[in-house]
Amino acid sequence: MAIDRSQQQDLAFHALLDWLNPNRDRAADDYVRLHRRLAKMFEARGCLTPEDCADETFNRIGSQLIEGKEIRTDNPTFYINGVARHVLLEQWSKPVQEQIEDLPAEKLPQDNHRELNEKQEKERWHSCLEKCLQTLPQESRQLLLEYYAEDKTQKIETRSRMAKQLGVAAGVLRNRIFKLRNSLRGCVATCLAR
Amino acid sequence: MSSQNDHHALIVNYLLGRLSETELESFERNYLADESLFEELQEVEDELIDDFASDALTIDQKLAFEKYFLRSSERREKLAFATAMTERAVAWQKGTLVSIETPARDLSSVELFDNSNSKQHLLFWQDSVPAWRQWVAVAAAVLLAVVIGVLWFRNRELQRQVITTDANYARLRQEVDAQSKATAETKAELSAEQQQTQMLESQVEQLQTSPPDKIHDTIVNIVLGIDYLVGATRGGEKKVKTLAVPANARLVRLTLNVAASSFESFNILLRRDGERVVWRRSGLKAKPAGDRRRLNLTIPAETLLLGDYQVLVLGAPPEGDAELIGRYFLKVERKRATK
Repeated sequence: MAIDRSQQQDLAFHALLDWLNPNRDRAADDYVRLHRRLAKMFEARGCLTPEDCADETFNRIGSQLIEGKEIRTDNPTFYINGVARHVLLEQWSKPVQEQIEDLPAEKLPQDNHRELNEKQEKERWHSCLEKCLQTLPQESRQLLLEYYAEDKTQKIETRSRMAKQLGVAAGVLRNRIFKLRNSLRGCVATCLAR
Repeated sequence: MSSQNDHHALIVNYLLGRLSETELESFERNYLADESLFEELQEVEDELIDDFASDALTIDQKLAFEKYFLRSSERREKLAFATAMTERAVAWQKGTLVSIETPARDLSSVELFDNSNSKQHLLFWQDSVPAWRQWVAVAAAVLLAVVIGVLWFRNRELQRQVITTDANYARLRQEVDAQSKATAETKAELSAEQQQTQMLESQVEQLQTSPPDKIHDTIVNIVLGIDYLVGATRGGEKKVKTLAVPANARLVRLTLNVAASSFESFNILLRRDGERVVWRRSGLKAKPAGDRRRLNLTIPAETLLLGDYQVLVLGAPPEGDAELIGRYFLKVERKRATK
């Protein structure tokens, strides 16, 4: 019985998951993790639509699998990396396309996007940042403010001083800042979107 | 230490596009295979953005940052955050310093005032005051000294009391903290037990109702038919499709049906509550499905939180701007774990 292309794409996706890991739960987790890593790699390599490039990489591997190609490898990531490089080379040879974000507002009806000037935009940023900072515990807020106020040309010295004050290793401090920054950035993004 | 610095420099050079092709190949091979390197890369990327925002990069790094690194829109958003945060932190630091400096300045001005007048006071005493008045003044001074002494002793006593009270407060505070910690731990244990109970209940429920070979809900499939598409120009009746996402779902496979058209590819924008873009894809090719066409999307389930969503579909012609074809309305509900 003939199958349509959509069904074929589904089959390819499921074949990809099976190839990543026979356990479906783990395969789905691997897919999400590898997709994230691939997208970051494409972003670092100057791909304007990194998520799409990651999709394309997986689509190709899925298609190869349902076409009967036997991919033998101890580490699937090496194979994924090879396919990703091909996708990247093709991306570079394509003409630059317009990003969705660059579309004029009139092409997105009912969006009611207000034209904010730079000053208003900055005020909005600072107001959201302030609100979000207030949601952090006092200690975390203080830590972030100290980190951002530090003289970054004396980074190593100031960070080891901050780590000593907190009684933690420099790596722990760095990770703590990373998590706090991420959480605050998420809060600000949500606030700005309101 | 040196190898750590080399490793850090390698990541920075990768992010700034300053590695040779051989170095790139080796770096990316390791990067895809090693989750910890991915996390490190993210940390270094954020630090690089912070350093640029506070003008701490070298001239070469700055050039590479502007020319190469900032091509990504996500990184530009991160830079906007780092700039705002740096400004806020510097303002906070200045505010802190001013509040410390102000009392010191006040004190020094008081000292200057007193010194400038002391000489005049001495001359006044020596030249014009009669002897009996001087004795009265001495007696008053002695009396004043006694009063000051008594006050000083009382003040010292009060200070002791304050110190004792502070120590008691600190001890009580420690006790409260310890109790809070214990309560939090108990709550966490209780919550974990409740979750486990819920999970077990769900598993029992599923075992009772599902056939034994039923595939669990790791991947959720949903089709949005063309009757759900509200056109951009002609409009149409708004129909909302409800999507129940189980807590244990990892991926949502969304199939969109669109009418056959001359568009070469499609761009999809998923907006939460009509505003915030939570997911996007561009350059998607539609697959023929009868007289219509079908778009398949794979979205990480964690992206879809409880709430209302719009799926905007934009058609991209071979040349020119993409245009909005229409939108679908989705209502996402999060279900308890069913596995």
